[in-house]
Amino acid sequence: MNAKLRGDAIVIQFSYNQTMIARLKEYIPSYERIWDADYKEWIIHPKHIGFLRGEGFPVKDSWPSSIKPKTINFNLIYLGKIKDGKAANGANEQEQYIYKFPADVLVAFFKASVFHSYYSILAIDREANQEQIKASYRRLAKQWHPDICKEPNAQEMFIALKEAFDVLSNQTLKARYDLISPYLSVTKTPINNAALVDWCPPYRCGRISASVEPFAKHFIIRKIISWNDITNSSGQTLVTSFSRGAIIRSWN
Amino acid sequence: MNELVVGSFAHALTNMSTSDLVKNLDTLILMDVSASMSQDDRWEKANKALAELQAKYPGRLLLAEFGVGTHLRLDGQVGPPQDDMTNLLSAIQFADPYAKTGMKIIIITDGEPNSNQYSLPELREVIVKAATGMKIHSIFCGDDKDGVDKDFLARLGETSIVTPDLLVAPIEKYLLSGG
Repeated sequence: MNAKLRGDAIVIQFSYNQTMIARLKEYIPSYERIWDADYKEWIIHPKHIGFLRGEGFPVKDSWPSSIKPKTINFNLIYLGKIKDGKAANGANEQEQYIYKFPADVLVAFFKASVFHSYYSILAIDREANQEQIKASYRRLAKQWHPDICKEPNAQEMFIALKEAFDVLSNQTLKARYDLISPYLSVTKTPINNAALVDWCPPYRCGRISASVEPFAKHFIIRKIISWNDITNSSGQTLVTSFSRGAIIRSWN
Repeated sequence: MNELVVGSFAHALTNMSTSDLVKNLDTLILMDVSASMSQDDRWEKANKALAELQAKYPGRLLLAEFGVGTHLRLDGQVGPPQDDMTNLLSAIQFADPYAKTGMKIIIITDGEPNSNQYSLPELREVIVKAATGMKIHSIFCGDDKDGVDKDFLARLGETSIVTPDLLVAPIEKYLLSGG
C-alpha cells in the first residue's frame, strides 16, 4: 500500500483487492475519488485522510485534510443526471466532464427540498414576481423544448414546465397552490436520495459562478452563486442540452 | 388515518394532476365537531352527506373541522366529535386565506359559537367582522330550541337551516351557484 500527496489530493496505490475497492466506493462519494487507469492509482480528496489512515495507508499528519475553495466563472455546456443519488457531471466546451455537482449542492440551489414543487420545476423562489416567473418559464421552455432537447424526458419536463407556469402565472391559482402545497407531499414522492437518481436539475447549461474545490483536474462545486444563460457574440442564447462538437464550438 | 373518502383531497391527489387539483378546488367546508354533534347521529349523517358530495364532485371540496381549533381533514371525513368548544372564530380565521383565492366557504354547525376570550354577543361581532368580504354559506343542522341566533348566521352570508340528513341539497345548491 502506498500513498503520496500530489497537489492537494492524496494518491494511493495498492495491489488488486476487491474488498478494499468496495470499501473505497462505499465510503468515498464518486466525485471525491478518481481512478486513473493509466497509472493504476486512486486520487482521493484529502478530507478522507482519516479514512485512509484507518485503512492502513501511510498518510502523514502534516498533509492537508481539505482543499481551499475558490470562486470561478465557467460555461457549463451540458449537465448530466444525478448518478446514484450522489452527484451530476457537467461538461465544459471541450466536452470534458470536469465539473462535479454534488446532489445536495443542486438541491440547495434549486430549493428542491420537500418534493417536486412548481417553484423547483421553474427554478425560482417562492417570492418570485410574475415577471421572474415568466422569464424563468421562457428560459427553461427553450432548454427543454422537445424539438431541441434530446434528453429522454424532455417531453415530460416540457409539460411539467407548462403546468407549473399555468398555475404560478395566475395570481389566484398561485395563492391557492401556496396554501395547499404543504399537503401535496401526502402522496407525491418526496425527494430523497433514491428519488434523486431520477431527478434532473432544470437547467441544462449556463454561465455559472460558483465556489469550487479544484481536485485533480476537476472542480467539485460546493456552492452555486449564480446561473445565467450563455449568449454568443450575436446575442443568441445557448439552449441545447446536447453536447456535440460543431454546435458547441460555435459558442466558444 | 382512516380510509380515504372517494373524491376527497387526498384521494384526488392520487389520480389528478396538481394543476387540475388547484384549478378544481373551489370550496372549503368547515364542519363543527364539538361534542354536541354526537347527538342524534349528526356527525355520522354529516359525514355520509359529505362523502356523497365528494364522490360526486371529486377534488372540488376541501374539508376542515373545528372544535377547540381548526384543521384540515384531507381524508375527507370529520370527527369524531369530542371538543367542548365551538370555536367558529378560529374556523373563520382559518378560512380567510382560502377565501382570498376565490374559494367559497361553507360552515356547518349545530350550535352557538363560544370562546374563552369573549362573551357571546362580543364573539358574534368579532366573527362577523372577521368574515367581512368572504363568501360564506352557513348551514345550521341542530335543534331549533338550543340553536344559534339566525340573525347572526344571516349576517355571515347565505344561510340554510336543515336537519343533518338533508345537508346534501343546500351544499350542492351553493356549489353550483357560481357565486
